[in-house]
Amino acid sequence: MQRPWIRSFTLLIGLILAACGEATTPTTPPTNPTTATGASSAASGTVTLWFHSGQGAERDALNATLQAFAAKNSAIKVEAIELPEGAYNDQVNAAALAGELPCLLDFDGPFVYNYAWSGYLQPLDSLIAADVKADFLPSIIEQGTYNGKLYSLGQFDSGLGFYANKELLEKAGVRIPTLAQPWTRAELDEALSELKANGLEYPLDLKMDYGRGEWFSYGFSPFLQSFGGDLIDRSTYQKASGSLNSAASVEAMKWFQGLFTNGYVNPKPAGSTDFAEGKAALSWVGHWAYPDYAKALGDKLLVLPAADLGKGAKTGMGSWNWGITSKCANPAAAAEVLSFIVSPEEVLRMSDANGAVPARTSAIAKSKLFGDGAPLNLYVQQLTNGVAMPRPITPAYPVITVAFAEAVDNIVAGADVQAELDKAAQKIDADIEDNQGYPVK
Amino acid sequence: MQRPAIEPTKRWQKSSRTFGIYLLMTGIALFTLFPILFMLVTAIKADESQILREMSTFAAFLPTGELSLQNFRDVFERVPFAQYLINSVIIALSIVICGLFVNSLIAYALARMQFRGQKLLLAIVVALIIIPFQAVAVPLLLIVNQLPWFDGRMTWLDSYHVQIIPFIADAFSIFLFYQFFLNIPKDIEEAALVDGASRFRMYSQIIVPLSRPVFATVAILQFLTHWGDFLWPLMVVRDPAVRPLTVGMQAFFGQMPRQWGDIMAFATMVTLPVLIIFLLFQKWFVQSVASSGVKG
Repeated sequence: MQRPWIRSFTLLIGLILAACGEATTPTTPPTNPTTATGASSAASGTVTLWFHSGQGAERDALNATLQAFAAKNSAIKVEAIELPEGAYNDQVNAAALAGELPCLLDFDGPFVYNYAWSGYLQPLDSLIAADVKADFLPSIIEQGTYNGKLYSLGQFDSGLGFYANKELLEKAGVRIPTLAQPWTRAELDEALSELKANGLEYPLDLKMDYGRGEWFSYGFSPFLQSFGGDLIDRSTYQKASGSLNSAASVEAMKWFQGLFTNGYVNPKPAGSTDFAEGKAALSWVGHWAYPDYAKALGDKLLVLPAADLGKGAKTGMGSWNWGITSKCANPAAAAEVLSFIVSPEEVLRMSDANGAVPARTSAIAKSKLFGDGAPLNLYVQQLTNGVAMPRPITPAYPVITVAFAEAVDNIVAGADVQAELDKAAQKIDADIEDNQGYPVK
Repeated sequence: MQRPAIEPTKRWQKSSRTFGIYLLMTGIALFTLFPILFMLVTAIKADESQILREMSTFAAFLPTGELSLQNFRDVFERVPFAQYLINSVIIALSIVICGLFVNSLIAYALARMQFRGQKLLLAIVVALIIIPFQAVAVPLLLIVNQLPWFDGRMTWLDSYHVQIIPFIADAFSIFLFYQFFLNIPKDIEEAALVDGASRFRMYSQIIVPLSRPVFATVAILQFLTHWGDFLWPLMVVRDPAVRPLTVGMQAFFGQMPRQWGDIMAFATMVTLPVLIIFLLFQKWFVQSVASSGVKG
């Protein structure tokens, strides 16, 4: 009786070990036909690459880019792995901890400073030609630069502003703003009041359905900055106290809270469709909403600039970008792949797929969405005219964004603005102190 | 003999109390079932805007509008679901099967054999139960990253075994087995000892057949725990070839707008195997949980 039992168990252990053995063989994911080889470049070897699984079109565009690279370059083999976006940063951090980062990876823009400070990334200055660098939007270079060195380059930037329903604005007698003459705070308040009086229950859509997360920092910190406040003192990046809880910031967030208490914004919308369905006249959101809005509103859709709430109109910028890790054994080959990914043709391919602002001026000129006179050219102007501000260029950003998002969440729920901003500022200051001010290494 | 008649008032009081209790229990049951119902119903709704519109209303629990399996098709198109499912099954089953053998043997040694440090070992096992996995996750990551494997690699990352081996030995399982083994009379084993049986033979032919309830309990609890593992695979696995369902599902979270229909279709397909296993072994599970004194 004993023998069959033991035999079965031994067989099982054998099967498990066999399964483990198979799994450890380095593989290129079968779902991503991205292994590339080619002949035209000077560099050669294998480049491991991680990228986040974005929306379908974005993912397809990147796969097409890597396939195009494979067709043109036989000396460099790309081993690409697509990671689930919802857990991407956690996986990158865990891999960094284990010293297992790939050669080339993408990451959300403002995380670059923390990665660079932590030593995960290597500067790109010597790897990217000066004329290539010069073709990028200033915002891309600004976003990717930390401590005077360029650590990342993106294929695209983001655009943030008001989308408006022309018909509803005209009905309420609201002036259509321009980049040269954006709405003032008084005008925006008056517009919201008029629109509500015209029968709209919630005239402004702030995409509260996105929930607490990066959207709160990206989308709402420009309001702080337009009031004259900020998330941190950008002259030293050592203190949030005095900036995030300054009088200007408190005034900004009280105004922001007022949008909810006055009934201009629905704090808990069921979905993202209020503006498209004509229930809201204004929607403060990024470029990614354009395709759905254009489809729903057609000629009635207006793309409007950020309002000047006192200290100049401010909006957000920054998106996913690419960097080469410091432990990459073959940075020349990785740079070759990166150069191809951010080439004008591939930038345009990606922009056409995801509707984001092309990162290079030569690509913008060819873009049907962002070129001169195109419907979203306003975003390019905001990015080049100083309206768009990068999120704080500091390794403390991951803590800043979490603390601010929590404060926004509580403020929307009716908490005391000063107390919430004090609390957030203290959290950020404590992190900076814990890291000895994030000294530059 | 004729039964004494119950007064109508008392009968009414009794039946109204019973009705109240049933009403309360029905309410609690519905409260527990609604999330599952929401998941199943949302998974078959084809119109994403309808899902969003109904999200905060009772209609979210009703199969209204256009119903289809499109969300399930989307899941298979967007991620290699079958691969993730196979990975999760391999990982969870391996942990359970190896865990049953290893943990019951440890518990048997602790319960029956006399050796130096036995009580200390038992105390350590009990102490280990209270340490949360999150507390040891990072040190464990650093350890497995430096361990060699038979294929020549000097790390365990991106493999099945990194998701299996650290969880085979489990303090809670050992404690459950130990408690159960203590209550088995020693007489049969002593008789076997007289007949010349080895310790392993006593374990495999006497203890194991008599301990089916606790084996079932440990198997089900371990399976449920490791079927839903997220933090550890998130930290140690990047390769889709060994990625489990829980991490694979993260592909649906990230950029807006979220496709709740796809997410719920994915969740349905993750939940159904566990639900089926639970329903199949429900009797065993309830019996063994009751007999082992496990509290959820």
